[in-house]
Amino acid sequence: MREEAGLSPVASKDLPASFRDPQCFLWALELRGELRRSFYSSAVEGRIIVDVDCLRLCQGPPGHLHGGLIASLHDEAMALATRHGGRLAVTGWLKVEYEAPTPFPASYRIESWVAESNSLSVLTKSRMTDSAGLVMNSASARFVWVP
Amino acid sequence: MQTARDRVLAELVRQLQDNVEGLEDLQIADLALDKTFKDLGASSLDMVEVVSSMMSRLGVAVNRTAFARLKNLGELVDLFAAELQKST
Repeated sequence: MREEAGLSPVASKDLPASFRDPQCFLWALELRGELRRSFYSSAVEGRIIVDVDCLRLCQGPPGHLHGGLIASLHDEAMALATRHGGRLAVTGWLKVEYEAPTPFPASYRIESWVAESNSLSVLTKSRMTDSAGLVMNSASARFVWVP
Repeated sequence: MQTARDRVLAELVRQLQDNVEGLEDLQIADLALDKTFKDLGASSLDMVEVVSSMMSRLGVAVNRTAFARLKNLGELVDLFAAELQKST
């Protein structure tokens, strides 16, 4: 966990149980030390920040992060952003735009937020930046509230 | 003058055109209001997208439980039109 003004760490025990299920491949990668994530809630209401270190077993094209893994990282970050109100929502659709090559291994920051919410669903946005703040990829998703 | 119902109907057709495969050329005159989303070939996710986009574009909030009671597209249009009138 890094200390940064305006960011409050989200402890592992406070993450959704599905994030910490041993059958979840992202969590399994974390348990094996291949991937490290630190979750924060931002002072900007509802925003979630995830600092990600992709160390091993995360490669897609040689020297670059796997595109499917990028989608998964956005998915969980946006899912956490929907939890702000304490309600459960599941992914309906997810769109990722790969804007620049994402080097691997490296450290990244994901910022996710709720763009729009209504009685049926919630629209979220997310972006992944490198250590210099360059946007490498971005995502949007529609989550459907579970009754 | 365009009524609330006209606005809702136009938005519904626009969202069906944008979000449901095979309905890209749908016209208001072709829309049978006694049909359901399922009758039009829309999935449950298409329905969420259409209705969510309508709420956003029309600037109205419609209660989730009210949706569950709807029998067809005509009732959806009536529900939105009533909410739209309340908000103006």
